[in-house]
Amino acid sequence: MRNLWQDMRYGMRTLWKNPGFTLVAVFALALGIGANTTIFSAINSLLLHPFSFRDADRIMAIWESNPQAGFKRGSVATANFLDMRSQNTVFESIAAFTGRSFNLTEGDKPERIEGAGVSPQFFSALGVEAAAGRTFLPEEEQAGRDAVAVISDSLWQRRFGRDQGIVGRVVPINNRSFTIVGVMPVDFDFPRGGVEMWSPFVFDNDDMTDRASHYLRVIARLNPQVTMEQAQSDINNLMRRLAEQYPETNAGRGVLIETLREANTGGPRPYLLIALGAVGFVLLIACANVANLLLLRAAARQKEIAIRAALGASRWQLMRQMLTESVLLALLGGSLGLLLSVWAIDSIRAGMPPNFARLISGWKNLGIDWNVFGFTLLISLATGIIFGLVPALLASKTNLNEALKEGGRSSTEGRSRNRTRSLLVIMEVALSLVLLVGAGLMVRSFLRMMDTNPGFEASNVLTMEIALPRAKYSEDQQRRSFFRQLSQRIEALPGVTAAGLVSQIPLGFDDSDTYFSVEGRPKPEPGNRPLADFRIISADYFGAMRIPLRTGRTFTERDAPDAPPVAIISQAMARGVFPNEEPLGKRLYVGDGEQAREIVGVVGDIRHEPFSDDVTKQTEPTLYVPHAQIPRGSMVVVIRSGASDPTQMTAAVQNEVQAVDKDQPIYNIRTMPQIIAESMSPQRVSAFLFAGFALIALVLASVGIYAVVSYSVAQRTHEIGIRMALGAQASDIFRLVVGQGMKLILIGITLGMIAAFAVTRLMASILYGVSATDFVTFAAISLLLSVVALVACYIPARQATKVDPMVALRYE
Amino acid sequence: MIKLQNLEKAYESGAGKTFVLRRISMDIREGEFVSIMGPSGSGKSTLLSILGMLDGTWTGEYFFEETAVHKANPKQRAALHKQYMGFVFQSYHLLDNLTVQENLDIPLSYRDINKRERESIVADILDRFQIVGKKDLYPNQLSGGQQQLVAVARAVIASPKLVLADEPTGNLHSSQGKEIMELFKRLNNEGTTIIQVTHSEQNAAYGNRVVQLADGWIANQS
Repeated sequence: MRNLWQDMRYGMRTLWKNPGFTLVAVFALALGIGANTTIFSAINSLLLHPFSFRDADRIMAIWESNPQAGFKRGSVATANFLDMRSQNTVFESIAAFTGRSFNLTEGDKPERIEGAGVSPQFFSALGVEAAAGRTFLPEEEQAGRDAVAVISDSLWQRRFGRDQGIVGRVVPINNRSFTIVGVMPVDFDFPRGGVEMWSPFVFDNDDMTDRASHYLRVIARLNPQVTMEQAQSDINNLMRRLAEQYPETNAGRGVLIETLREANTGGPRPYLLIALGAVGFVLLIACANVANLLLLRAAARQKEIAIRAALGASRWQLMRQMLTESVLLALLGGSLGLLLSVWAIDSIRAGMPPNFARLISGWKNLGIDWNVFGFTLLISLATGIIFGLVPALLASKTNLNEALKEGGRSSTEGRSRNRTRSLLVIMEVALSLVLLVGAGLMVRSFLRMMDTNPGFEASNVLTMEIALPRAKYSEDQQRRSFFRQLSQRIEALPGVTAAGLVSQIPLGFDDSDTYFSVEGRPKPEPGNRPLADFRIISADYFGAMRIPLRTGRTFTERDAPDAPPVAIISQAMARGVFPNEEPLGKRLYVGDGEQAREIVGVVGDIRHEPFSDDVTKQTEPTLYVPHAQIPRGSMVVVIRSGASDPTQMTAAVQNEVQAVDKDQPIYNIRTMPQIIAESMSPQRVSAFLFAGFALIALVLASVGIYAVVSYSVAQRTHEIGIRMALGAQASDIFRLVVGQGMKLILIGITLGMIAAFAVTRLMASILYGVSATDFVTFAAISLLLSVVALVACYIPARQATKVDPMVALRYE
Repeated sequence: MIKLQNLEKAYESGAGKTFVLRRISMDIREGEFVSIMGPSGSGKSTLLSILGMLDGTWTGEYFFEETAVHKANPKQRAALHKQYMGFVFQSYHLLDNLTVQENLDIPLSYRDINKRERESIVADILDRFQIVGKKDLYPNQLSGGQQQLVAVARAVIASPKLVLADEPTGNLHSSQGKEIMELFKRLNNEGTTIIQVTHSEQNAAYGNRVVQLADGWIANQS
């Protein structure tokens, strides 16, 4: 320990006395370690610790799966959940929840609060208790006793000014009087960021038997003595029994149990793991770079090392001194890297739209905590040893007799050191090429995505959501009338060219599918029924979005509630379901509907799924039905404006909503281009990060090439002098030096191409419209790297041509 | 103390060998002050390196204090070097980044001596060599003579039985050289065996025996 301290002091002084070397090395390491810290902090918050619940690994997510239909994680039907709950023997608590919004009408302005309807054990399954008051009682899931709410700390602060009498306070919500029974601790926002209110989910008589509508998410806390496998097997048995009892709805259905952490981290996982690979490469390149610098310096320090050995230092003591210095360098690099990482994390936070970020579990915890700090410390120490070891091993093997010879050259270079330096440069070039190709593919993929025609015209479109409270709008006619009046008022506004309604906005994060079957064809087996995207729209929706009509007609006023049921399908559906037939006039059974719907039109395909969900997914068959016939209470208003900035319409539209119902709030006001940008957020952030990492790699590699070539020029001054004295021209010397550098670079590029070919395949799942082995990217990146490397060789080569043979021949 | 028997050192050169040292046989007793002399290229420094165990690639027999060095592995040779020897070089070879005091501490730090003891030994030697006032200076703040004085102090700080000096006054002017040689004489009188390589008859006169080398052979030994 004592000697270590002394080694550290001497090490610090050595570094201080070589500010140029120290600065370059620390900066290279800071970039490498900083990039790793940044990505690890994201992994730490989003994958490892997305939740801070007690014994979080015992909290399970339970999904219904349907292997035949190709999905593993589906929502659970109400009756199935009730059976899971009543026959449960493996869970301490089991609960269901579903997204819900609340219209809070107390005060001057109605506000739409995002929330969840939850069954009573929801909080105990998560292991959280109310900070004030209580959570729900078992009897509060019964109709009539359910007008109670638990609110978040943020809502308590924002809306109720931290009123100490909040527990027991009665407030108007969704046109009913709710009693607030509890306030949750700060930061509790499960199931997603932005949730501020929870109320009991009431299972009505229909729910008790409904096994066809799947919309509940289910969580459960394992009994302490029960393993996940036991729970899975227990619940499998239950599902088998249900499939036998209710083949119509449950045939082919299974259950998947996984930890809540796994369930909620699937989205960012591939991006983060690929990013982790990329930063690993950056760190390796930084290590190779600093190792190279250390080798060059070790040559200059050969005499010092020899003196120490002559004074009695063992090889281990010499290595320890050098390793101490490299670890010190790495710790300095790590400290600077940590600062860079704070900046980088802030940039990533700023780069991700809040609307998207709130859907990512753990996003709010993104930052530097003790785990991240520990990781940085550990990786710094490991880095110090990795890049310090080879130079220390080689330097400690110094030939004392030669090194201490009086009047001898100050450094005698071993072949092994030259070879190691060359190998390090080859490695840097190869790793950089892999990273650059990865970045090139990400950037190209992102550009392709931006170029994609979503099937509609996004510019000048403003969207906003409206959720009518069930208590006030319990009748179909009321909902129909509200939206009809609102559409007419909005369309009458100056500057509005069209206004429509849709149940789920394209490229948003809400989705809805439905089963369907064609009238007159054999009914498909249960569990094998085809699915289509399902959208409820108003007559003007296609006009507002400029989705082209291919054949037939769009919906009109004629498609009234009592008129024959109609549907419009997308081209993809027409091709898939009626390959050689005319779809117009054909009739479809939609969902469990008993009345068939006549197809009256075919419209162009549009992309519904956000790019972030599954980039490889193509446009799916879509089925549209008129709002007048299925008057849903929660709709997205789509307004096409004549102005280039459609957000200018917001206030006017808000006034129209208030004019129809003064208590009705609107929310999620976004332009369509904003929604598209949000749907590409992971790709944008990844492309940006990759490009950043690749740039770092390129800079480090070119510094590495420059250092090695210029050192070699310095070493060969004598030889160059002799060559010039013997008649070599400047161009011969230039070729000699550049040739030596480029030889290494070409080997590096070849190896890098082979590695990139193998590695980029791992990225296939996140690339859009570009192959993982895209020739153009590979060729362009190789060319780019060659040019940069050529420049790095050019500078020392120019210096070499300026050697004065008379001076060089006197050179020691 | 030292017994060499037919010691030879050669380099491979093309088809044959180039000998640097040939059939060197000699004895050095404890307490002697031996000067190795000879023209440039005669093998003086190489012989000193072999005696000081900095060079292990030679043939023949070398006994140091009854230990057969020719049979010892590099680790054992390093241990002998560490235990018994101190080195003084023509160009001092002080470590530029360390102060005088720290330079003196270096050999002790490699010998597993605790810090307090090391401090006391360093304080003693600073006092003995009258360089207390220079202890916080760096080598480049000292004159050549002062640097060599520190180098000698560093060579003897771990109380070696044998000090090997390679042209210790080669880079000094005559008065500084004289001072260093008198220091060696004093150390020898106190019992330290000294072997020096020198070109100077005057310096050789401080010793009690001269070994003359020519072309790698012993030409004469008194």
